[in-house]
Amino acid sequence: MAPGSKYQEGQGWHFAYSKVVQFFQEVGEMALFSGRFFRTFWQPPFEWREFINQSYNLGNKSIFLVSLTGFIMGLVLDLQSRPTMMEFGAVSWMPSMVGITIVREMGPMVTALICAGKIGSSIGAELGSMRVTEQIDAMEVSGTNPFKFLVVTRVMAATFMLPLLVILGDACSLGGSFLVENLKGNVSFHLYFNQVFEGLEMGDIVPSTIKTFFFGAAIGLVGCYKGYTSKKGTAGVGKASNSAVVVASVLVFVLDFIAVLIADLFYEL
Amino acid sequence: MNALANIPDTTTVLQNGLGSALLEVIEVYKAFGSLKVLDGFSMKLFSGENVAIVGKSGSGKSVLLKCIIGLLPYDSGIIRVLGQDVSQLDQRQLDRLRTEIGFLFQGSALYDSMTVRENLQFPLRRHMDKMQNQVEEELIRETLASVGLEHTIDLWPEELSGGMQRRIALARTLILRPQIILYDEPTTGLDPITSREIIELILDIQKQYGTASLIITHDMQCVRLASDRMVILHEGKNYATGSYGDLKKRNDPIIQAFLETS
Repeated sequence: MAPGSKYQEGQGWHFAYSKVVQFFQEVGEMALFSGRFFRTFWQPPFEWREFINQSYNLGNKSIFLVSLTGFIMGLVLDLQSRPTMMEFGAVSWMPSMVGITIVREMGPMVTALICAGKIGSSIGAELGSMRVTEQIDAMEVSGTNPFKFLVVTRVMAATFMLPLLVILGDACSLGGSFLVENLKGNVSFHLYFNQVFEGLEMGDIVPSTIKTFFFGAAIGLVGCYKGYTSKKGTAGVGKASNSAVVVASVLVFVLDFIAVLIADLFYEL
Repeated sequence: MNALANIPDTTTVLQNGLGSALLEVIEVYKAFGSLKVLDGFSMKLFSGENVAIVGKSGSGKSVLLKCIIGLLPYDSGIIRVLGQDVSQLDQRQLDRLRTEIGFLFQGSALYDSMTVRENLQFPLRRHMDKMQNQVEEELIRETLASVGLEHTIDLWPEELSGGMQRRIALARTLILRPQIILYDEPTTGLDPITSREIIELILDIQKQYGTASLIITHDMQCVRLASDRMVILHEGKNYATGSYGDLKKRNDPIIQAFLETS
């Protein structure tokens, strides 16, 4: 180590080691938290009212953001791909190409990342502030299982809302792409969407829809875990919210990679 | 039970007059790592009485309350509430027992995503058999009236002052008509007039509903006015028990150190 360095010789390794241990501890705790979710989920009664309330909150409040980003994504994708496709004389393939790109990968990924930011952080901050203001303890001493009321409902709401938001995002993206095709190539609505759906197969739609349920569950679980286990006062709430976004986003990429590998295996069969 | 016989207690006459013990804490030990918080603490709470527990900050008063309600596990000893050993109960039994124990948190802990009405509905809808809306509404209004805040029924917690929040939290606690109420610093952070109002409310509740209360506090005015007995929690043990007047007469420097603050 250079003189005046922050760490003495050997301390750097110690720091790295403690970070690795901390990482695996966190992964273990998150796995236990997920296990508790699955155990609690089956215990009656299910909090239907809170589930519907959360579905409305998580879904409804993300509609505008998902629609807008989806629309812009479709618009940009079409605008940027068009010149290259024109060079190869394949501009008539634009609707099919955009459709497959959006439905198979970009739609689910971009929507999931947006929701990791919006839903993950809001759940993390809400539960974190409930934890530090003792609202979760208050729920527990009133004889209500707070895990069931707060965590199970939010994870389920995120799991079921994300696929719907992805469908909305995909539709808006295709709308954006259609706008470009219509203005630049004079392609009609009927022709555009006819080509989009001709290019799509069940193998494009089914795996990408299934993976969005897992994205939703991951975002909900991470947000709940970070908020529910938040410590150290208001600073802890900020940290919970922030790390919920980071971990959920990374998890979305990891799940997407696994989903693509599995889908690829099925294609080869 | 032998441990209880060793508790220095000057109010056995008062206890005998109050009937059976609703809460018994017997030789309870609780440590966080090497830090001993409760070191063989014992006490009893009898039906219809208010007992104040005083002790230095960090002496384990709030930990004791959390052990009683089952929020924190304790290392050894027995905590018996309404005849049931808290550590032996499964989750369902514990939830049922908790409906008989009210807990007023220091920061009120009102659900800030719910209105005052919804805060009071929350425990009702989980523990009372399905009741008609009108009956539920009457019960909520009656309980709010008992804390003098019926007009706040449609307000949000953020629209209430600290004292009002504390009263609403008390109303939420009262709505299930518990037999015991645990108060965690009920007057902390309130101005003297509001503190006095909360103390009067504690006494009103004792009179009106016949509940027994365990009050954790630093506020000697609260101890003097609201409690029938006080327990001094010192170094994890029940250092002394007695009425405020009795303890005032004792020539013990530690007891006097607590009482001199009043």
